Formats: sequence, structure tokens, C-alpha cells
Amino acid sequence: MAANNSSTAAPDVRFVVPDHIVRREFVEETVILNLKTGKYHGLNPTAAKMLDTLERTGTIAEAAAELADLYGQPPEVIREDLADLCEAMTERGFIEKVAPVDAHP
Amino acid sequence: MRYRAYGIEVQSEFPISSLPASEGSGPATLRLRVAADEEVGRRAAESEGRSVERIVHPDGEVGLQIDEHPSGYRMEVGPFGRYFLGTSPLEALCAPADVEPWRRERFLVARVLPVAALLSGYELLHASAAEVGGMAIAILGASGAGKSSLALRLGLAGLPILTDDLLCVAIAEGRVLAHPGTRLIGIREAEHRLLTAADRARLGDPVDRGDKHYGQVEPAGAPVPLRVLYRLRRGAEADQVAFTRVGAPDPQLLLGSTFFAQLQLTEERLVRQLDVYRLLAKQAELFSVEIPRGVTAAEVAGEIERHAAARAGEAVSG
Repeated sequence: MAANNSSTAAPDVRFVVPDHIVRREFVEETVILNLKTGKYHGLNPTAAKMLDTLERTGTIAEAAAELADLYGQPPEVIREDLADLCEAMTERGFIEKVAPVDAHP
Repeated sequence: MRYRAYGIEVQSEFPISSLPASEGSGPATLRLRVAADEEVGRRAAESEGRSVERIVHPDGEVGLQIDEHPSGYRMEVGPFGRYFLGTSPLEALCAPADVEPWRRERFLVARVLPVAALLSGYELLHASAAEVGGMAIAILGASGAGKSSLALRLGLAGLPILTDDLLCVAIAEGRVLAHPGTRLIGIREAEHRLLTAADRARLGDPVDRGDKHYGQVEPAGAPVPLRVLYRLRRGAEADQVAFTRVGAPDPQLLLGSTFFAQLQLTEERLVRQLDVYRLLAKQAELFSVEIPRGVTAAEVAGEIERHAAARAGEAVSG
């Protein structure tokens, strides 16, 4: 998996959940376990849904389109929320940005 | 001699009165062997250890020390002996050879066996527990909250006891099962004074072992699904014992109740722990037990028994 450290969370940047991140859904929250650090983190149901959708679709743009339908919100609002969440989750190592294939020779 | 406790089959060179006997005939999970101090020291010296649990008394004396080594765990508790629990194969060397049996037994059942259970794929919650109507109920609370006293009173009321301090759990067939621990039950001095002659006789005439009295209760015979968790809250304003349904046990509570949280920090254990707790959160109910001042452990135990029996009844009819 190729990851970069760019700080921009552009709508078409692709994200993945790395192998060292394990998550389990509890009744009122999702617990994320970072196997590299042994630390646990909690996600509320909305953030957990965003992470699930982002993992499945790969980009903020695609995830936002799907979530906008689900929550009945304008896609640009969801995109903004997702970008903020992605930044916070990237900082904590829950997700990683994947370099586009054509970025390498 | 063959025993079963904390989910594991134990083959021992010496008798252990507080463990339920087993008729298992397959290979034992854990072997116990009496060893000289030198042998325990030699095994520990083979590699460098990492301290994972240490209790130091106010006078500076080390009360308990557990070190994790690549090949096992070195455990020492002042007057109760020294152990090396090797992981491959799972075998505990128990030293010194001439220690009084109860001293060896006390630490063995309180620490060595639970660590062996952990290494065998079980999780441990800091809780006392009993069996009510075919299900397990667990009582959570910090040290001194009254977990052991409630287990004692539930045992005296005739309920099979799973543990007075360390609850061993594992997933089997999509459920979290609570496994019986040992017969041994710790009794605080204040609780010991309240025991009647009949109570004492049922507990096998509890003996004073220095800081606590120890008796024996009837252990549960088999693992049962863990369905109800009680969290004790003392000093409540209420004028009687009250139960408040909190909902599902939350991960913070469960992770915070993990025993030996610093041991065996492997990916496998961390993921297993999360899987057990996730399932428990789905399958178990959590109640806060508000306990007014002046209410005895026997009274609280009676209320918990009635409450748990009603939950068990609902589970059956539901």
C-alpha cells in the first residue's frame, strides 16, 4: 500500500484503512483499536458510518454523494464534514491517503 | 491429580483443595510441577523480563511482581512462593518446595492459573460472579467495592459461584460464556465477624491467612452465558437498594474492567478482547445498583438474587 503525507483532503484523494486498524461496532459507538500503539479510540455512530462509507467508496467525493442521499443533506456540506473527519482520522492513523497510480513513474 | 478451573484442564503434582476436580482424560492444558528455587531462577535468567504487574507495600517491600519473558512469566509474591509459567508447553514451576500448601495454593489460584487461562485464549474481567437460572451474573466494581462480600453472600444463599474476583470469559457458539474459577473465596474481617456458626460451617470453617479470611463455596459446575452485569454504586441517596438499567455495557467499562490488561499485548489478544466485549455489549444488560449506607452485603445479595432471577425468567420466556 502506498501512502503519502499530503495534508490536503481533496474530494478525489483515495483513502484506505490500514491493516493495523481494527474496528468493532458496539451498541452506541464503534471502537477503533490501533494495533501499532495498542490504543483504543471511540467513534460515534455518524463518524463510524462515514468511515464505513469512505472505506467502501475510497474517496470523499463518492462517500459524500452516498451520505448526502442517506442524511438528506447537500453534498457540499457532507464533503466538508468528511474532509474534517478524514484529517482527524489521518492524524490518528485510522486511515491513510493512497498516492494515485499515475503519481509514480 | 486433575482439576478444571478458569476454562483449563490442570494436571498437578500436588493436591489443590480449592480447585474442582476434573474427570477429563485428554491432554491437560497446564501442568503444575514443584521445583527448587534455583530452577525457577534459572528459567527466568534465560532472558530479560518486562515488569507487567508490581505491588509495593507502604514499607517498600515488594508484595507482588510479575515479569513477562519471551518464554513465559516469572511471578513472585513474598511469602507465597515463586513461579515460572512457561508458555511452550504451558507448565508452571512452583517453588519453593517446602512452602505450606495454603501459601502456594493462594497465589496459584489467584494469579498463576488466571494467567494460564489468558494464554489459553480466555479473557479475564475484574468481577465476582454467580450462576442464576442458567445464566451468569457479574458484579463489577473497584477493589473494596464489595464484590467478594456479595459473592460470599450469594454463595451462602445457595447459588453456584463462578468467582469472587476474576471472571474468566470466552466466546463459544456465538455467546460469551463465563467459566467457573475456584472454590476459594476471600472474606474481609468485617464480613467475617457477621458470619453465623452455620455460615462458617458451610464455608469449611474459614481460616485466617493474615490479611483476609478464606473459605470455600460451591463452584458452578459448567460454563454459562454471561447475561447481566451489575455495577455497584455505594452511598446512594435512595432509602432502599435500587436497580437502574443503564443499557448495554459500554466498551470503556468493559476495557476498564479487564484484568491483566498489560499482559500478553499481542495483536491476537487485543482483537480477541475486543471481540468478546463487542459480543457482550450485544448480549448482556448492565444495571447500576444503588446501595444506601448501612445496607449489609447479605441484604444487597438478596436483592441482586431476586433481580437476577427475574431477568433469567424474562430471558426464558422471551
